[in-house]
This record gives sequence, structure tokens and C-alpha cells, in this order.
Amino acid sequence: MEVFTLLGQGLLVAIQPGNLLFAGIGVLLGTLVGILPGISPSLTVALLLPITFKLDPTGSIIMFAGIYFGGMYGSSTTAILLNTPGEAASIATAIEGHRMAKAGRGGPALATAAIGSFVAGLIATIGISVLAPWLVDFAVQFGPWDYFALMVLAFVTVSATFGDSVLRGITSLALGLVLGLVGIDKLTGQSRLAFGVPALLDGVSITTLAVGLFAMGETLYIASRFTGVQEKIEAVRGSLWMTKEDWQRSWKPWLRGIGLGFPIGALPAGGAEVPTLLSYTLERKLAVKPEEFGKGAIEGVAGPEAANNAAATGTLVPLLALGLPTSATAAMMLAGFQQYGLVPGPLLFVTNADLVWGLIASFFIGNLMLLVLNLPLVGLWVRLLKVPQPWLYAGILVFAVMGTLAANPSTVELVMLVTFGICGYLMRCWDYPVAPMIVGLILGPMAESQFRRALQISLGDGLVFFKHAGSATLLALALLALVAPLIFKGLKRFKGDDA
Amino acid sequence: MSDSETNGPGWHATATVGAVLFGLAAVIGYDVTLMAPAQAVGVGPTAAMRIVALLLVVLGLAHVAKALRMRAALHGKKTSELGAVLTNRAALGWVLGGLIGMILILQLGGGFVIGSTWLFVSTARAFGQSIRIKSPAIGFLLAAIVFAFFTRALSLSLPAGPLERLFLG
Repeated sequence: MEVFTLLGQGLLVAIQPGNLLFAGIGVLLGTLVGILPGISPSLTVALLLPITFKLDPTGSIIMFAGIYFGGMYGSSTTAILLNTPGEAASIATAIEGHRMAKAGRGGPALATAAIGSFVAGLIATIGISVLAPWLVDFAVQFGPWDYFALMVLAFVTVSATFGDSVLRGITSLALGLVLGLVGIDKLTGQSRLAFGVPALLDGVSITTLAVGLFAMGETLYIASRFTGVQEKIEAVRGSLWMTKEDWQRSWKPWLRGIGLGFPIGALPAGGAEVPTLLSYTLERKLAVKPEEFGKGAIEGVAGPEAANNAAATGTLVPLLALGLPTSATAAMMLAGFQQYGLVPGPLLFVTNADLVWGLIASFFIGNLMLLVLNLPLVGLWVRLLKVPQPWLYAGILVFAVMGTLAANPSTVELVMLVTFGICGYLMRCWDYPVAPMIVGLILGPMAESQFRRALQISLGDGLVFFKHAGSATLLALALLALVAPLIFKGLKRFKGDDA
Repeated sequence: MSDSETNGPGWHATATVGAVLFGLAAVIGYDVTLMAPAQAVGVGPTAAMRIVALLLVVLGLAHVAKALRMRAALHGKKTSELGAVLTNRAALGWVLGGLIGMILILQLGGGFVIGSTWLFVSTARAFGQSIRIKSPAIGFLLAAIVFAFFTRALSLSLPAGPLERLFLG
């Protein structure tokens, strides 16, 4: 029960008027930016990062969490009303939710998404409070070899296991690893891949990469496909409220979605795409009225939305307890921590207990605020969707450039931003996933330092990673995760030939 | 589910990516030769560079192999079946022009507001908004508000030019 005492203390931190204000501003800003078509939650966090530069750590990280949840909520609103999922995890929502909106049931679709996300956020936050301290106790015994093996596993699962193509996923990861090498080596002070450019000595900023890949890449991509036709927005007609039948059909999918989303999010497996699609498939199988699927079934919104939010909250378990980001958004959160010199991981629970528990408690508050703010304000959000494309993308670029300049006012940084933008555009055109590159940039240097520490302790014995049971198991899992999709693909092709 | 043979880049693109990967590996290899020799004990900073370079070479080889396979598979088929999506090069050019223009304006000391206004107008042009009074006006107003808010309220530093110094000096 110690956990609940700590959580209670956290709640006291979170409801201090100042922090409450930060959570509220975060949720509002997050929704405001996240609702704009084509802006994913991780981009929302990246774009709004500069705003938190000058705040105190606790306040700004609480605001950050608000931005994150707000961005996720905004993204699902866009998926329902505009059929433009801002991220892969909203695809399932877009399928059924948009049909519901077309059939004049946009209100209940938004409501079940919001309430489902709220319930998922609550339960998943309790999950974090129980799981994270346990994982911390466990992680204290981790040696550098275990950390290194865990990071290798995360590399593989993020880039290879769940993507379309193992080759493209790992290529994206490798590009991130290359960027992670740039700058001064922390142990010896030698500069790597900087080629005498002073601005490169500090390394590549994760924000610049994320904003370049997402904001610039997306804008270039949309521009290259621009035909002059604007997408149609479904107006929210009819009642906003869910009927009794809607409730009856929603609550079970919510819970099943949470059951799928939280564990998958908490594993270092990355992303919310898998649980949302699993949840969609499951609800389709279990539905009382399966014929409604594809025509606007409320279960198809309720389940995936709850799974999405539960998985997103779940990714914070490895982030907080191990310092291991397993999704693009978690990587952005880590960047947010790092700007205050805070290193998430077992130690943070001891050195900054107030901050950690305040943050966890503020997830409750953030989710509650989302529910209270978003449903009544839905009319305002719909109006935001009507911003014409020229103003929207022009504004996004101005903000992207502003954010980069505010973090690091140099021309080299801007040139890097544009280069990453072109890179993101090409990756988008050729179907390379972007998230592994961001995870590679932030995890690469961490993995390297654990690798070197392990070899220093073992006096240069490379077999150290296989001599410890923990790291050997994790590396074996990583190999399995790398090979499994290749084998399954081979099987599928084999079957395909057979048929 | 999407099959990697039909979905994703064509063989030209795959080969290009392979070449880029080889190029990156070469750059890293070159940088390794420039660095001081490793210390006697422990792993030096070049170990990770060698590992990443090796990974790049392996991935590059895989790309080249795949490109060759795809080309072989395409052999004999009509190229019109490829059905490439038409790229709006003009719009792409406007957006890139906006970004490069912004960098040049900042480099010449034009300041954030003028640079952002140009970026705004140019991007809006890419999405079909003509460069008349409306677009520069909105862009200028937005840039000025952003500049004032972030430098005053949040005390962040953004590059200032003659306009910024004149009004907010």
C-alpha cells in the first residue's frame, strides 16, 4: 500500500494551483495543436517543447504530460471528423468513427472516444503506479550488460518486429544511430563526425530531428500531393450524448482495449499501433452486430481509442522506470526530461520522488481535464479543423522554424532542420518508418555508453553479454524478435504460392 | 497485409538508398582514420563507429540485392504498370524555396519577422494561395505576434533584424 501513499503525495503536488494551471494549459494547447490535420501527438510534443524551456522542471513536465494526452485526444477527433488519422494508432478510429460522423452520430463517437480514453488513462495510471516501483526494484540490480541487451531488444522491436518491412525499419534505425554518433564523445572528449563544424559538437538535437522529420516532411509530402481539393469535414449533428445502448456497447470494448493496450505499451515493444489494430479486430469478432462494422460501429471506436490511450500511458512505464523510450512520443518526453538534466530511470524515483509521483498523479488530472474540457468545447475544435490548408501548413512551418531557433539560434541548426525535412519527405514517399530513426538517435548513445561500461568492467571480455543470464536472455529475445517476422513472411509467401 | 514486393519504393529508389548507406559508411570510416589511436584499456570512441559502419554496409548490400531482385522481377513487364503518383513539383519547390529563403534572410541579418513572413507566404503559395495582400499580411502579423510573445513573455531569444530592433528594441 506504500504505492498509494506515494501516489497520494503525488496528488498533493499535482493539485497545487500552479501545477494544476500547467496541466490545464498543457491539455488545451495539446488538443489545439493535435487537432490540426496531419499533426501527430509526437509532433505536438516536439512543437510545444520550446514553450516549456523556462518553466521549473515539475511544472513543465506536468504540462508536457498534458500536451501529450491533449495531442492524442486531438488526433482522434481529427480521425473521426476528417478521416485524417494523425498517426497510425488512429487508423482504426478513423475507419468506424468517420462512418459514424457521416451517419450523424459524430457526437457519440467523440464521446465514446473521450470517455474510453479517460477510463483507459485512469486504469493505466494505476497500472503505472503499481508496475513502475516494482520494475525499479528489479532494475536496481541491472548491470550495464543488462541495460545494453535491453536496448538492443528495444531497437529490434521498435524497428523490425511490427513494421511492414524489416529492412526498411532497420535502415531507419541505422540512420538514427549514425546521427547519435555525431558530437563530442563523452568519455574521451574526442569529436566524432563533426568535421570541424562547431554547432555539431553538441550532437544532433532530438527536437530538430523530430520537427524536421514530422513537420517539414509531412508538409513537403502534402505539398507534393497537393491537387487543390480540400478534404470535407463532417459536421457534428444530433446529440452529443451517448444513448443507453451506446454505453452498453462501449464499456466492454473499453476494458478489453485497456487489457490489450497497457501490457503491449509497457513492454519495450513500442507504439500503440499494434494494440489498436488488435483491439479493432477483436471487437469485430465479438460484436453483437458485426454487420455494422465498416458502417460505423461504436465498438470499433471505443475499443481502439481505449487501447491507444492505455498503450500510450503504458510506454511511460519503461520510460520512467528504466529510462527507455520505446515510441517516438516517449523519445520526445525523454528529451523534455533531459533539458533539465533529469535522467529517467531507477534513480529518479529516489532523487526526484516528488517529481515522478507528481507527474504520475497529474496523468489522472490531465485525463479528467480532457474529459471536462473537450466535450463541451467540441464546437471550437471543429472550427479549428476548418483552417484552410495554405494557412495551416504555412503556420506549421513558421512554428517549426521558431521552435528550432528558440532552442538553438544558429543557421546550421536550420540547415539541419531542412535536411531532415527532405529526408523525412523521401522516407514518407518510399515508405520507411520514421519512429525508429528518432529512437535510434536517443537510445544509440545510451546503448553505447552501457556497452563500453560493460566492457570496461569485464576488462575487454566481449563474452560478458552472454555470461549473465539476464542479458543473454534479452539478447536471445532480440534475435528472436528480428528473425520471427522474416520467418512469418516466408511462411506467408509459401502459403501464397500454395494457394 | 501489404507485401514488401508491391508496396514501398521501386528498384531505383532502393538502389539509391543502398548507395546513400554505402556513402554514409564511407564517411564514418574516413572519420575513424582521422581520430587518435585508442587507449590501451577499454573500448575507445571508434568501436561504436565501426559497428554502425558495418551495419550500414550490411544494410546497403541488402538494398542492392533487393533492387537487383526487383529489377529482375520487373523485366519484361510494361513500365506503364508502375502507376507512379504524380508529384506536384511546383508546390514542393515553393515550400523548399520558402525554407531556403528563410535561412538566407536570417543569414543576411533580416531578422525573424521578415524571414517568417517570406516562409509563410511561400508555403501558402504552394497550397494555392496567391501572393497578394492577404497572405503577407497574415504571415507578418503571425510572425510579429510569435516574436513578441516568445521574446517577451517567455524570454527566449529569436534572431532580431532591423524591424524587430525598431519596434521592440
